[in-house]
Amino acid sequence: MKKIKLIVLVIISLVIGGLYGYSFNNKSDLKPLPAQEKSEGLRGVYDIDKNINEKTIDNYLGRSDVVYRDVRMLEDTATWENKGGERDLTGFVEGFEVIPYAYLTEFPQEYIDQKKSENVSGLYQGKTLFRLENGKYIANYKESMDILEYIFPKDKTIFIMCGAGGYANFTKQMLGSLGWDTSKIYNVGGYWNYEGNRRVSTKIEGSNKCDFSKVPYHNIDFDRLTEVN
Amino acid sequence: MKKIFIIMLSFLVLTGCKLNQNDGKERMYLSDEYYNRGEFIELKSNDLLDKIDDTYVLFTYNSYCSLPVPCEDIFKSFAKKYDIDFVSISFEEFKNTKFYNTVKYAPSIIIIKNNEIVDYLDANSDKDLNKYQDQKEFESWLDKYIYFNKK
Repeated sequence: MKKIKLIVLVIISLVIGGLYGYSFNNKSDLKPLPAQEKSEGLRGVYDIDKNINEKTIDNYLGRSDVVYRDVRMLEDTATWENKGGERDLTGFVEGFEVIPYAYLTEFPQEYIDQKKSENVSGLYQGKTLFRLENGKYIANYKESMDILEYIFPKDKTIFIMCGAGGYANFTKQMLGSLGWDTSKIYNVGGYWNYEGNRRVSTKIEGSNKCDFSKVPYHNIDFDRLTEVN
Repeated sequence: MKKIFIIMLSFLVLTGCKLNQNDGKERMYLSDEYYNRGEFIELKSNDLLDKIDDTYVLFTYNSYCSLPVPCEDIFKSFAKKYDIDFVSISFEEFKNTKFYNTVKYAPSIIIIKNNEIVDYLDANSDKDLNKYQDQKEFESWLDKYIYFNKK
C-alpha cells in the first residue's frame, strides 16, 4: 500500500513538474511591439517609424522575433565626399546585420539623376539580385528570391536601418512589392541619427580607415548564381 | 460710459498683447556679408565659432541617403532669387555644434542670431513639411524673420 502511494505521488509530481516546465519554457517574455506609425514631417515621407527609431531602438534590440538589417554598403562607390559625406560604413548599431540595398536591386533612374544634380556620381551600378522594369522587380538570378527570403525572413518582424532612412525606405518598398507583409517591416531610421548606447564603431583609431571585420555582413557572390535570361 | 470705455480699452490691450504674441517674431537683417551672391558656403563646425556675432541662415543636410523631396533645390533657388548666402554644414559636422541639442534631424534650415537659434525647420514635424517642398511656403516662413534685402 505504501509502495502504491509512493508511485502515485511520483507520477503526480512528474505530471505537475512536466506541466510547469512546459508552461515555463513556452512563456514568452517579449512585449508586443507597438504598431507601425509614421513619423511626422519629412521623416514620415521616408516612412520612418514614430515609435521605433534611432532614438528608441535600444529598447527593441536582441529580440528573437525580429531580424535587424542595415542596408548600407561597407564602402560606397559614389562620390559622397562631394556633399561632405563619407563612403565608408564607419559604424552600426549592435545586432544589425549589413546587406547593402545596392546589391538587392538597381537604383531608380530618377534617383541617379537627382544625385547627379547634387554632384554625387558613381552610384553602384553593378550586379544586383533584381532589376526594375516598368516599376516591377524582376529577378536577375534563379536564386534571387531564395536569397532575399533568407535575409529578410517572412515569418519575422524586420527592422531596417540605413544612413538617414532613405535606403531603408527603398528596401521596405521593394519587399512590399515582392510580396512581403509591410506591416511587419519597420523603417527604424538612420544610423546618423542614432543616439543610443549600442554603437559599434568600425573606425581604426588614429587612422581614417575602417575595420570591417567587426561588421556582420551578408555577402552575395553573384558569380556563383545562375543568371535568368 | 466709463465702464464701456474701460472694457473696450482692456479688450484692445488684451487683443494687442495676443497679436503681439503671435506675430512677435522680430524681423531682422542678416549680417551684411550674407547679402551677397546667393551661394551655399560650406563650413566645418569649428568655423561657426567665428560667427557667434553674426545673424545668418544655416543649412544642415544628410549627404548619404535619398531625399525623396529635393528640398535643397528649393533652398538654393530661394538663395539665388534674393542673393542671400546660406551657411551649409553636413549633419555629421553639425552634431559637433551646440545647435544639435535643439535640432535633432537633418535636413534643416536654421535661423541663427548671436549664436542662438531663432527658429528652424523640423524634419520630424508635419507643420514644417510643406516648407521643405514648396518655395512659396519656405519663403513666407523665412520672411517672418528675415529682411530679404540689405538695409
